[in-house]
Amino acid sequence: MDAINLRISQLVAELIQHSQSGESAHEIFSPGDEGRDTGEMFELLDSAAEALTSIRDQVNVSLQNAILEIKSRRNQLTPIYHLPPEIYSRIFEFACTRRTTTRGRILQVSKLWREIVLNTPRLWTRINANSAELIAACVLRSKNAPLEIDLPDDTSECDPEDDNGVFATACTPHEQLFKTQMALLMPQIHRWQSLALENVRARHFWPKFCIAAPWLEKLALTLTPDVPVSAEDPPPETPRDIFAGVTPHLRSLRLERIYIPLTSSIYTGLEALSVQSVDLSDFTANEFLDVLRACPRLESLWLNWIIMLGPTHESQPIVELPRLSTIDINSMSSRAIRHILSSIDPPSLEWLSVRTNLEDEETIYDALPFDMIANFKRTVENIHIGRLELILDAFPGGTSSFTIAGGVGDIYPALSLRSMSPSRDSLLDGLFPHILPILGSQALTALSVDGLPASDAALLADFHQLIVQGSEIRHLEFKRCCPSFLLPLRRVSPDTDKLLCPKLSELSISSSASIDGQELIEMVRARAAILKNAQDGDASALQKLHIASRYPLDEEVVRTFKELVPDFSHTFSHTPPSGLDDSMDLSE
Amino acid sequence: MVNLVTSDNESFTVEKAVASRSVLIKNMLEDVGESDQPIPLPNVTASVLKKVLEYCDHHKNEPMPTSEDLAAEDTRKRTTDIGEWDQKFIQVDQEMLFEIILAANYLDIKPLLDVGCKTVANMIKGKTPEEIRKLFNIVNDFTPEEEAQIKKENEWAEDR
Repeated sequence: MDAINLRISQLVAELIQHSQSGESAHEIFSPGDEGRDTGEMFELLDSAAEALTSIRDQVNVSLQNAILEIKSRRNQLTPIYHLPPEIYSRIFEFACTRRTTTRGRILQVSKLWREIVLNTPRLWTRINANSAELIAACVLRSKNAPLEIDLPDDTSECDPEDDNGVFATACTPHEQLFKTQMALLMPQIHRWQSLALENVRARHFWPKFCIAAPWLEKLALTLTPDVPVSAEDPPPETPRDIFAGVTPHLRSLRLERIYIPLTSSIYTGLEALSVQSVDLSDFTANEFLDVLRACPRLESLWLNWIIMLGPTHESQPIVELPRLSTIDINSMSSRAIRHILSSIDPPSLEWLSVRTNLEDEETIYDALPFDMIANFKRTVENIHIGRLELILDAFPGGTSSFTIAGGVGDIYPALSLRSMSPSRDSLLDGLFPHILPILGSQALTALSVDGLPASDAALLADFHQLIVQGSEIRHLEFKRCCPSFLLPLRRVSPDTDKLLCPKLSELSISSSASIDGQELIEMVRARAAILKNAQDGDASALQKLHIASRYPLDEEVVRTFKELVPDFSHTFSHTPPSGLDDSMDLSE
Repeated sequence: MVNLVTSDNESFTVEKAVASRSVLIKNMLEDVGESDQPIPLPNVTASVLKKVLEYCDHHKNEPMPTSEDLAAEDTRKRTTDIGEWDQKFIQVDQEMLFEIILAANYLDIKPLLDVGCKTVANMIKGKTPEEIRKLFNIVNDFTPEEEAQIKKENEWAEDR
């Protein structure tokens, strides 16, 4: 610093000396110069100007350096500059999470911060942008650290006309971008830790991904729905197995509209497997079980919209999957589903969701996993279900559907079973007796029923049994149901002589038909009277009641409800309540 | 009980379970064995040690992070979530915040170090470079060449 100051002082003094000497252009010349020719005079003047400019530039550079050094010294006095570089790195790693990329901003704060960011390889391992420059910078700056590659879909930037509808031949801008990206990334395949590609086509990636990915742990490949799947089979000239069959660390695999044959060794040792919208009709459920057998540490299994043949032979050894906690199977052949579910042995599931179409002559509960072999039934019973939603839809002239959704959270069900049935009879026949054993051990706190028709006494009695078991139910919701299904709420349990659903505090009723307010008032009054006489410490009176109907309630009824229930609300419209259709309303 | 002596020569007598949240002190105690000798902490002042011990006392019954935990630390799962008590604890001025971080680093108290680092990270998140400079009283000390490089990089950077 002192040396810089001294040099600046010298230069400034020199500059001042020049300026104070009063030496103007005509003074540069000595008397003898008058005889010089014009060319010599120009040379002399130019040389003098250059000398001064040089001094000025030196002063500027020295001043700039001095200013920067002063600023750096000033920064060093701030409390944050006391931190050593490794703590800065740690802070920056926390600041640059998956959701927030602040790396670029941190780079611009100061010289020290920039230096630290550039020398923290872990800040450059996540490649989640399409820019080739950024990918190149990440590859370089991440040094030898494992890479997490997540290239977003940029098809919106490509002109769809470029494809001319010929998906299998043209070199589109998207393909060109992919080639550029891969030219940078392929030499680093030995340090790929995760790879997620959106809108990638087999004919693009398969020829490139023909060498080992020894440290790849997570792979997600997705194809846009705009491209016909049929055009996306691996090119015939490519090697037999993707990544040359060498992905020893692969634990998570997600394929959406991307076909990789079940014989590939990529399906080995997985902990999470998700396959969606893929035609696997070359394979049977037996062969899929072989995949599961090769993944003994599997924790989650998602199969949605898969075409797969049923089993060619029914008896297969049970596949032990002790860590499996999530199963979500949607829209597969019920034979394939049944074979898979009945051939695996997960000790305890946290999530089960099965949706299937019934085959001819199949009753609803035959298609559902309730009647699976004993081990699976036990599994279903292990799922904690606190919230249950029953949806029964019937479309005149069309199909019927049946849904059970349950769970402990507010949004996602832990149990979801859905089926389509050709007739309402098969939909409802024996429904409640079949689900009661499953729910018998559960402490339901919320129950939502949608679409129970004004049906026979047997169905009402079955539903009554479900309510009898609801000693913990606090929230009850009826949509498009016959009002007679509310009647059990004014009764006491035959076994315990206590009010049914004694803890019920919130009730919601939606119907596009007119609602008999008097019946409801009687129900609320009856419950209050029973509670008062029983003096059950755990029981509670109704705290919240919401009624949504097509027509307004009588003013007297509204007034009475407001007196009986602390939080009463009523909405009505001449159009059916949201999402409901007159033709679907079963209460009329 | 363990006797700790700070750089400004103040003594703190604390339970062994509290002091042992520091891996540095824990190792010293194990090396020395049962002893009444005070443990000098030349890099920590009394005001900072007081705060650090408050943290250690609150968390004394929690399991210590194992070497496996530290080895398994995964940047992909890293979050900047901070517990409610820790958030209130770390509401201090910037000077004290950085002193706590330095002390946690020196004393090898990984969870406290993370609370400090996460707090600073949360202060940085979502701010422009100028706002960050203002927050930490930093000035721009880039050379014109570096400024030009930054401008060039900004054309393809994911966050500007």
